[in-house]
Amino acid sequence: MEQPACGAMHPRAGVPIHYSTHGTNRHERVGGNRVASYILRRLIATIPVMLLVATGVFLLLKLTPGDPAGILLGPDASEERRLELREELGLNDSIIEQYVTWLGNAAKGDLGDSIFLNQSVTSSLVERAEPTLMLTFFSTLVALVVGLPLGIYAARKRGSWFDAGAMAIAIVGISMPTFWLGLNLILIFAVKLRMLPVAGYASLSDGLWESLRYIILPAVTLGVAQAALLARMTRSMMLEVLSSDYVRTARAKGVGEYRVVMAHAFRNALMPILNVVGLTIAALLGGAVVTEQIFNIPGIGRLLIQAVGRRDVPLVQGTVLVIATVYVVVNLVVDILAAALDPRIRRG
Amino acid sequence: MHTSGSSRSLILPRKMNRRSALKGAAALGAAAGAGLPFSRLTFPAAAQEELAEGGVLKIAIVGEPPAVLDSQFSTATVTNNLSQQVFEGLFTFDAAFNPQPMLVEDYEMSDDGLTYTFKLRSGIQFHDGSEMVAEDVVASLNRWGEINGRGKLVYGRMASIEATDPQTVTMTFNEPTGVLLSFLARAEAFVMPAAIAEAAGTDQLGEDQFIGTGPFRFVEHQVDQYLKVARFDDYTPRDEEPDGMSGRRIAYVDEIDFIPVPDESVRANGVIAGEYHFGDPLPPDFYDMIESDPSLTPIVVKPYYWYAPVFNKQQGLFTDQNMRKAVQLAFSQSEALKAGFGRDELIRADPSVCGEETAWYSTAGADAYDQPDPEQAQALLQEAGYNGETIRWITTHEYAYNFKIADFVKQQLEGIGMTVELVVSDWATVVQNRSDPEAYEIFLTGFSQYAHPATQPFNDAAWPGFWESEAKDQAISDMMAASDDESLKSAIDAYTETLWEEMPLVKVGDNFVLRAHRNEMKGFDNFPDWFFWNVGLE
Amino acid sequence: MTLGERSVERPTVSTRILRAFSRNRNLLVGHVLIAIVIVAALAAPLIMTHSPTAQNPSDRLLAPGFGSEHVFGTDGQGRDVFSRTIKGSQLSLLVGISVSMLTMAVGGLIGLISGFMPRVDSIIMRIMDAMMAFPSIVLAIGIMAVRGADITNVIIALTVVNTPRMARVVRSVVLGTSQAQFVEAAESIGSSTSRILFRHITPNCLSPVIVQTSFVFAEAVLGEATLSFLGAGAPPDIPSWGGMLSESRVFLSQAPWTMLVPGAALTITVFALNLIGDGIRDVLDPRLRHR
Repeated sequence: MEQPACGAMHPRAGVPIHYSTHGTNRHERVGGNRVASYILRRLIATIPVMLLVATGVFLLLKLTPGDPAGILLGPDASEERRLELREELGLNDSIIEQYVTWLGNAAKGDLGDSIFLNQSVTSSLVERAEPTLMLTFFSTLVALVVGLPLGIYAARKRGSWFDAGAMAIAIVGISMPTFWLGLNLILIFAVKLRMLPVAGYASLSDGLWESLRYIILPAVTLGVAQAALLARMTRSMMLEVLSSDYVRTARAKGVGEYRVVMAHAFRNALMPILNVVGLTIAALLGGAVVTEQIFNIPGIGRLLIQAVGRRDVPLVQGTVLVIATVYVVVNLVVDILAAALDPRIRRG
Repeated sequence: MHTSGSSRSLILPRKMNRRSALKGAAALGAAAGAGLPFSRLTFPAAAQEELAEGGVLKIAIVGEPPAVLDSQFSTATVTNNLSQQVFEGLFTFDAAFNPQPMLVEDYEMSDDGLTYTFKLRSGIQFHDGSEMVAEDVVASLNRWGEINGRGKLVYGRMASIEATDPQTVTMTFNEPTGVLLSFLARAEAFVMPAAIAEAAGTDQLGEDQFIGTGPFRFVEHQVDQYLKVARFDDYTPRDEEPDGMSGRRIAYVDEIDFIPVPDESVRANGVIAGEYHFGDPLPPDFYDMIESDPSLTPIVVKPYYWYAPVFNKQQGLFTDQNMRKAVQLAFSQSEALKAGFGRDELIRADPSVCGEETAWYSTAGADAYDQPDPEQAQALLQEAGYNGETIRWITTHEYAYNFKIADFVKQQLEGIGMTVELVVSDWATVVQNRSDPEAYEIFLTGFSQYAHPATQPFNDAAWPGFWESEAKDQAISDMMAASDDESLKSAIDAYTETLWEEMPLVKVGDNFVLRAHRNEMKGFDNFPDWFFWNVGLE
Repeated sequence: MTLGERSVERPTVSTRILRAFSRNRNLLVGHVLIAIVIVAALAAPLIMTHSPTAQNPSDRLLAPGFGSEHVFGTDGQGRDVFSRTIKGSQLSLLVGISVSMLTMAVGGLIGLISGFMPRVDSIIMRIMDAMMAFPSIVLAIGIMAVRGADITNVIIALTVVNTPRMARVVRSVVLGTSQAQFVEAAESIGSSTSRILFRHITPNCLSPVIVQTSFVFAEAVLGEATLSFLGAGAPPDIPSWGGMLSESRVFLSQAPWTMLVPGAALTITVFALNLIGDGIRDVLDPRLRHR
């Protein structure tokens, strides 16, 4: 059944846990060949989605007025030069022509050149990869380290003050706008206490410690909301599993509490948790725009926003395509992992 | 070489100064027992604090520079400023915006004003180790003439440019072009190796092509993260005292990291927190905080930019001069300026195209400036036969002043019965739409206060606003030709009069930019186009 | 929900609501908080102590103080922070309500169509997937860039961003329900499609849709604030919490109240909405809770 289970409609990642591109029953028996063909089918199913994304971006951009040549050349450029540059950049070709050319190249892996940055779209993205991945990794780390234990413990101590308190804090965590949290952290730790830098990014090549100093505040900013989400989700999952027949049987058989909780309950709860984490990672990769802005991190989110402002069409298209691809792939991986881990499925 | 007495001289009747200076030098030289050529004479260093060597400067800039260091390609201010750390041209500006020799040793202008002979300094090295020769200059200027708006203006009058010998460049013109040196002093008229200029052609310079003669050399560029330059050890400074950008340039610091910080509060907070040594531009609201902070020095940059609503003169309501004059009389320019920018320290109500700090200042014919006269405005509207048609003013929220001034003026215009519609979009859209004569009646933008008046973009009839005028063309031609102070001043006056008579735009006023540097940074000269030679870190 | 359940006596609506409130703290607290916000928005002209837009450069950056003229201080242009915050609630609630209503309508419609018509289902779901794969902030900013900065466009942009999820929810209910045996049974005795739709599927949809709508409301309030913060939202002359936060950054160290007050208002509002969403979900669909 496609009914979303376990209250999965949380505000942030926002898709029902059992994400699927088909109306088919995802829990059909998989094993061996079935797994392979499942993966293949899912992969093929992503193609029309990618195509739609690519076309959608293209149309959106072409609908948006604004001339990248004028922006590149600066305020004192002559009209003549601007028109020349437009010609050189191929901006005067028909829309269909531009679309087809771009699509053809994209299929071959060539995303074209950024108008503004004088480098290929691919290298722009590659350069932004490290900051984006760092931010995603550390904020997810924060989320896991804080959210998981909180959720598990709250589930175990269900009904207690700890539980109520933790869940209340979790809702606050989800409700607080990330940029407000970020500003508060900057105010406290960077401006008042001067413990951490106000903004910026240091690459790993500058040294791990230096890199960490810069990434802590942004990672916490993003991580808090995720942690809150995860805590709620985890608690929810754990509770459901902890009262299941299997667990009750195990307890009746005298299996130690720790084993019950960690070995079984948690493993079962893992699947939807994984799903959420996967989705959030996917969302973060393109969506940490505001955090990148207030912390001046040269990541993909900021690249995209700036590219839109400059009407840097190839860059926007290429970036959105890559983000969407990552999103879809991550979803796919998560689904596959979930299918593989789901003991109900494995048992057939 | 140039005494401060001639600071207001526009063209530098060079021959005169040189001869008198030589006399003085000869006297000195004779006294010292050496007959040294003028240019190698060293003057005693003026009292200037000793600057420490070493350190890495961190400079927060407004954003990722378009075309990085290639100021021939892009006219963006940040690109222009960055390029002059690494590239140099034949001339450069002193503190009064007079052109002074940089890569030029000496030069001559023929009596008919049509031929210029430039003798280059010898022994000037490029960052790749090669030596600069005349061919490099020719190739670089050719590229400038091809892809740069101001370059094209010059080349449009040029008959030929040649490297007559490895140390000499000769330019001949079809008409007198006294303004040449001012144009050559701009950062964009820089010199690079001939092979690179030719290889680059009309494309942006690539990273391996940032080879100049400047006191800093390009090291590394990480898009959106930083641009790194380092001291060029084989740089040969001039001997004269530093004056504006001219004179001796010494790179005291080891390296400079230019960090794009697109967000203005981050930029400002970064300077305050010590993350950056210098930030430009900073939000005006930070003025008080910076002033009261003992570790920072606020800088108000004068002159900087002026702002004006520009009329679409190609089609629509404002093809009629009476309509344009009506608008100017309908509101107080100084109040609009205040509405747009707020702080008194950062604004100046003044009708001149060029700031009073420059030698091109003129208020000729600008009596109507800031003398609102709603009745007269209404009379003009009547004469023009205005019937309540909607006036479309394209503006943006991206630059707060743009919207605020538009909003203020709109209210005043509505007060005399005009119908104004503010069409708000982002800046990219405004830039595009202002080129379309069907799309608007008015747009607002800023212009440099310290650029030669002949180079203002709105002089070009093809540029948004579409100002076509014989009187204007004549005045500009005279400006370009003027070969002495007198004729230049009268040409500029004629130009200003034409501007106020024909009213292609309505100058609202001047706005100065706020910068700040940390006090550890010493020796910084507050020139509008910043530079970091002669700057040391404590 | 089985056929059997339907014929059991149902307590009156009012009784059920009262019972829900008393049992569920989330719902109670959430509603109280949001009621405060709504009252503030509606009664704004009465509550505001100053004009929210009048600029007073001589009174800029005054610190808050309970006895003083400006309870929450003033901002960089001398405007009263308290009044601006109250005024800002109007925009947030307006956008929140509009977006959630529109999303419910549009998303619901799409979901229904998709659920009932397998032929168009694939295409529609592909499009929905494509929209969800798009980073939502960027999509919203892109739409704003195309359409221009005003409140209507903000509502449109945020509706577009939130519709796919709603469509999925509705669709999945439709699919789930239509496979239920009782629908087959109904079909077998000749009930028409529309009867099935109204009598069986719609009530089934109601709870997930209501739950989702309340979360969309929260998302919309946050979304509007984010867009305003980035300068891509409603025009800056309209007081908005996001806009206030954006302007406050320049004064972060000098005048932190300009950042704290609108941010707190925003957090409280979204918090209330999330509580309500949770509460409604717990009440309407106990299966969705932990047991």
